[in-house]
Amino acid sequence: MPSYAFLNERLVDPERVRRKMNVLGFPYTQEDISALAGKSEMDAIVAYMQKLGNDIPWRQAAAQAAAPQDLVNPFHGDPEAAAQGASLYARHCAACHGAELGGGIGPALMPGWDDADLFTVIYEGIPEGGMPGFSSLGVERVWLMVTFLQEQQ
Amino acid sequence: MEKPQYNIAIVRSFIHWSLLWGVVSIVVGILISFQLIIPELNLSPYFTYGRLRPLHTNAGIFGWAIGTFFALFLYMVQRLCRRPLWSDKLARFQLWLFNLTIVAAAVTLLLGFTQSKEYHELEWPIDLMVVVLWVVFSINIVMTIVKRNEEQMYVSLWFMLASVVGVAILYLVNSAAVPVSLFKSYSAYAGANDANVQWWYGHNAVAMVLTAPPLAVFYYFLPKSTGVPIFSHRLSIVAFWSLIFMYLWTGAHHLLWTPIPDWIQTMAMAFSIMLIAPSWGSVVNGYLSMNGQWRQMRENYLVKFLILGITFYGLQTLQGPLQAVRTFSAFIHYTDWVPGHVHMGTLGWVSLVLFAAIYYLAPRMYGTELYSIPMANMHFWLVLVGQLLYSVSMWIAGVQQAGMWHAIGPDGSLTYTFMESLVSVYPYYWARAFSGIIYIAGVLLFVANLVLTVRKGKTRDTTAAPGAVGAA
Ligand code: HEC
Ligand code: HEM
Ligand code: HEM
Repeated sequence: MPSYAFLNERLVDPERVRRKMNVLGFPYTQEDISALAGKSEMDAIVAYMQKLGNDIPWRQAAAQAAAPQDLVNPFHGDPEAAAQGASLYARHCAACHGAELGGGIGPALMPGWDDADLFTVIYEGIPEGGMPGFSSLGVERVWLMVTFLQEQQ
Repeated sequence: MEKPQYNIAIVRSFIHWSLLWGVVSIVVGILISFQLIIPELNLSPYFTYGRLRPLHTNAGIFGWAIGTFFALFLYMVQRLCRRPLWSDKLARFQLWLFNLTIVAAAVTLLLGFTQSKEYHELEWPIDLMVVVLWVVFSINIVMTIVKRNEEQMYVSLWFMLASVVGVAILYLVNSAAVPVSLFKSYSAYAGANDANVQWWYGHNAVAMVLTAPPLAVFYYFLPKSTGVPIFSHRLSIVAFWSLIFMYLWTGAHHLLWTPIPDWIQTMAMAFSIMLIAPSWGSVVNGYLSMNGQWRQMRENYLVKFLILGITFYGLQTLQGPLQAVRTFSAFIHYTDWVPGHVHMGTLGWVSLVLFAAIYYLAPRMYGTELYSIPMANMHFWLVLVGQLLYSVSMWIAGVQQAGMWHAIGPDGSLTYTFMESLVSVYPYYWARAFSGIIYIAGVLLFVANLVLTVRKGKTRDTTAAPGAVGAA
């Protein structure tokens, strides 16, 4: 991944944004626009990426419908499953939570969860906190990771 | 009959500049190929992949392809109309405006200005330059044809006219935009309409820039190189009109499975398949013109370039319609298969035909025979191998990506992450980058051959009387 640090240094110019939104006919208020003062182009891109593909009602509904109803870990205490979960963790989570669960971009992962809650956090994520949801990996793989995390605790 | 005073100087100038832009395009193409495997090669902000990729495509299509078409159109129109250009001054002006436009395009793209429409990235002030450029060019071509001294219009003139008129309409419609500032504008269309207009433009750019002009060149330079006429003039004209008619409806094959209306997609699919007929009309016409002349494939290096070129055109126009079928599109769309298709067209079809035409013109431009035919043969093999390696590696990569993206577990989850599919195509990315190096080695031989021809011409000019050459 090349470095795009220069985006951090470039500030968004609210006046320019106002002119653009006028051309597009977007009904932003003056307050919305003024709130951009001091934001960088990096902030703008992050906001855009977070919004992209969200807010699609049927998709949210579909995800909800697909979520499993009874949250019982089929692998509870299975050491082989935990080993598989470990490699999934290394691939999908370690970048944010650290290889040794010590934290980084995301918090250190502490003990004390029950299987069902842990499953829900991983499966659905905490969008407003920056924790992505992993429903796309499928129920089984999320349970494998839960098993791994519980074994670590 | 007295021979008209043809203007060859302008043809030569256009070719020299287009060669420069061609080399730039290929060098940038190689650089972005490496950037995909060695991300550190992205030097932000000016030399990141996102800015260099449109520079590559613009320099390739507008600098190399259109630049050479300018040269060859200005050459062919004089010969086919048996009269000099309508205006030499206008052609000179066109040359400088062309180069100015390409430079402006390169600079603004590197600065990050873009309309974000593929093949129509340039912001509105440069759009205006392009419009003036095209008008100047069109006037000269059309007026020369109007005032021609040869009654019959050879098929190349028809293809040229289609391209002149077609590009003008496409470009104007797609460039409608509302400016915010000097280097920022928004498309006049929105959402699905915008996409539909953009790909109507995009695909007809393929038709009017990467199909009609090289066909004009092929129909002119094949008989010139072999010394025997085209197999059937009637077939060429029928193929011409049906090609032009059918192309206009196919743009939406770039937008299968998107929110544009279903019937538009279906129509695009149907017309794309019908396109096989007129495309192959030209291919077959080319092959049949070689009846009794196939030995020239061995003896005449020009013919090798032209016949391989039309062969790749034939393959391209079978592969294209296949890609336009919904089920197949669902498989290969968004994968590296598509750049494989694109470069069979640009490196195989378009560039091979252009190389042949430039070789044919070399003695006429420089007043002496080509410096070295073995070098030209070497050039042929290098670009052929380079192009095949490029396309084949991308087709394999595309199929592999498609397979991995479509693999789904019993609960509907994806078997592979995007990252895994990306890592798995790295070997093919390496092969592609390497293929670019082979290709450019061929092109540099070509340029060297031309430079040595110029040198030879100069020394001869001082020793022998001019006029003895250019016999053909
Ligand atoms: C893009 C970075 C990122 C990735 C990748 C990521 N997380 Fe998180 N995670 C976060 C952040 C940030 C939070 C804190 C969210 C909050 O509390 O608002 C978090 C919170 C959590 C929590 C709750 C922690 C607590 O104490 O509240 C758990 C459990 C968790 N993540 C597990 C995982 C697992 C398992 C994976 C891999 C499948 C993963 N995360 C991948 C960023 C990430
Ligand atoms: C051998 C030299 C070349 C190399 C190594 C090369 C490499 C590349 C690369 C890496 C891409 C980006 C593919 C992607 O997005 O994944 C690309 C795209 C493209 N190139 Fe080239 N290129 C070469 C020559 C050319 C030439 C001479 C032309 C034009 C005449 C051309 C026209 C294009 C076009 C139109 C695209 C866009 C394709 C698409 O969007 O699918 N290329 N090239
Ligand atoms: C009968 C003729 C042809 C048909 C029906 C056709 C069809 C297609 C289709 C369906 C795609 C979209 C692939 C996808 O994104 O899924 C495509 C892409 C493309 N084709 Fe063709 N093709 C034809 C001939 C040609 C020729 C002769 C060229 C000349 C170079 C060419 C150049 C391109 C380019 C540059 C793209 C990439 C567009 C992009 O950036 O996405 N095609 N073609």
